[in-house]
Amino acid sequence: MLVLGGAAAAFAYFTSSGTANSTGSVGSATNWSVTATGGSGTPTASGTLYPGVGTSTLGFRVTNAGTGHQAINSVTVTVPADGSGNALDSSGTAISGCLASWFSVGSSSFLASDGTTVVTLSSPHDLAGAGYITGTTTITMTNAAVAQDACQGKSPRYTVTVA
Amino acid sequence: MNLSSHKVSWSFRRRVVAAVVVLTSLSATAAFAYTRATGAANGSGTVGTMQTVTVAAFVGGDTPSSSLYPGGPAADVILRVNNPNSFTVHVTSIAGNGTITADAGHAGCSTTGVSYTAPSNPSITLPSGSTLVHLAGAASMSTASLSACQGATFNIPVTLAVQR
Repeated sequence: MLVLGGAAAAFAYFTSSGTANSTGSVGSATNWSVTATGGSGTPTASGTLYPGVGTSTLGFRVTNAGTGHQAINSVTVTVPADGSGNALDSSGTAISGCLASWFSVGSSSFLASDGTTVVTLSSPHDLAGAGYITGTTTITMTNAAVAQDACQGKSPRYTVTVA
Repeated sequence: MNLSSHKVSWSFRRRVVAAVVVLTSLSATAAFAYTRATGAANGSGTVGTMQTVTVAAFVGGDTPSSSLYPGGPAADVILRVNNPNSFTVHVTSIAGNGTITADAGHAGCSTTGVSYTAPSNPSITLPSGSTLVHLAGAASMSTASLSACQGATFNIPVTLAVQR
């Protein structure tokens, strides 16, 4: 008994080790939902652009469509172009002669879902499942030294990308 | 007694190990969630169409600052222009586009002798609304002008080109 007891004590203090394996479930990241500020439809813009005059204000909502927490790292608004630099219209068709580079996208501002708390994305912003922020971005049109008639009456596409 | 005591100790250490594993898993989950999700959507804006600038009727007080004389110096031409846009436009040309005629009260002035010289590089801006434009030295009268043209006001058809 004593020998056995001594062996047990030595085992416990110097060589004891244990491992255990278990498996958990890690959810998949869910893409952000980008909609109009009301939570459905596509982002909408108000205002009319002319060369050097007017602003177009784009409003949108970024929603965590998943059930777990996710963090927004960045939101980028662009005026996409085809291979020749032409802006695209709302259906994705190039507006020949209307250059995307004539449109300037300003900085975006963000509000939390309470509608008043300002959100900055200088660092990742955590959102719980179904949580959202709203964003506002202004776009202007440059008054170029060339005819810009190709843009008249058109609806240049704006793309909101969230990462 | 000793054996029993060591078993308790072993059991405790296993709990410690298990707790560490759980914490590690939570940490990994957070890192995963912060880096993978993306999203995108398209909206569109509106580029306006410029409304046509028109030449409008004169209003009271719209008079040239100089008069024409046969063989005399060039005189100014005036035109009232309406810019219906909400923004300023720039006049790029004011070209003559028709026969110059005398007013209805001078029917005998069939040969006006009046000519129009378009400004080569007009530096004219038109704010929104109505503007009276003076074109200095844009009209002249030759000696071919009939005597019946005395006191007449001449209508000079022009076409304006503007740009934003």
